[in-house]
Amino acid sequence: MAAASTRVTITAQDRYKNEIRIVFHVAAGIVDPNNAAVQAVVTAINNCINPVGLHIELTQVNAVAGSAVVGADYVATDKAVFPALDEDGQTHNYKVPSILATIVDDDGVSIDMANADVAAYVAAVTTNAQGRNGVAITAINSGYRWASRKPLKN
Amino acid sequence: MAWDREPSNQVKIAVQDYNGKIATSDYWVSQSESDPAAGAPAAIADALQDISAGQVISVELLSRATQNAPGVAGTGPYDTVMDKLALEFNCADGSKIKLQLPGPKAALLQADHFNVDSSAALVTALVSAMTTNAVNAQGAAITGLAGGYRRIPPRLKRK
Repeated sequence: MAAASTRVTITAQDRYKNEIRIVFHVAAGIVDPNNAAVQAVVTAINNCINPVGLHIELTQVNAVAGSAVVGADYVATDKAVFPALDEDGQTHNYKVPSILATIVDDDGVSIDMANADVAAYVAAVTTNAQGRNGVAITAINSGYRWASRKPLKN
Repeated sequence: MAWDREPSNQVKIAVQDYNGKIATSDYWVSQSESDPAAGAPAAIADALQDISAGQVISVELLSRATQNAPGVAGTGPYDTVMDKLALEFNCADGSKIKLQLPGPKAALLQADHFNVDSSAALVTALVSAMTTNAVNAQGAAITGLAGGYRRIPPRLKRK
């Protein structure tokens, strides 16, 4: 279900350096903190309070319907980790929870990078994702399974 | 005084396994992405779904900005974040929402120091900004101020 509104969270700080959040909603589709509608409310709130605004966060949530594969080999704590490099040579790790057993190699650890769905995921990330500083992701060459579960006792 | 926007928007994809446990997968995408159900967020979520036995249950798109000259916090009788003014607004769908303002200025209150003064200039400006620009979580318009009162910090309440 598409987001019905955009939630705006202002983090404000009082003279004693205590922080608090103020939440309101604006129309869906607004993502720019400098949007006029957002700033009109932020300014009006700032004028009414003694604390000062430090940060703004805008968020929209799209709910997706469906069901997980029952009895799957790997659960949410079993993740595929895909180390990636950006244009500056910085590393990023992308984690996919509850991976399908069909994308794991026979060694139980390596991800089959030749798998068509894995290749599509790698293409989707390298095409659409970037670093927090805006630098493009250039390569994802490998992947491995990472389990946070403790080993079973003998 | 301006809000400096971060260079990227964040995408948080929540995946639920068949036991009901939820894990998230995080990405940064272009500032121009504006819809969690389309564009880069949807492309990554769709591709992730194809290699996960869990179910993608939500895709969240976040953008952030930081105030580059926040100024100095004001002083007054209610200047801590624990002092709050609760404002209730009526919405077009019949619901009410509550906006809680921390550290409210004294000029927002009536002489009883408790009820909001709906005729105060700061209050009318805020109500105008809310009714013109804000909505409730379901997207319904805000139609007006229902009332407001100062909330006393719990530690100061009389038993």
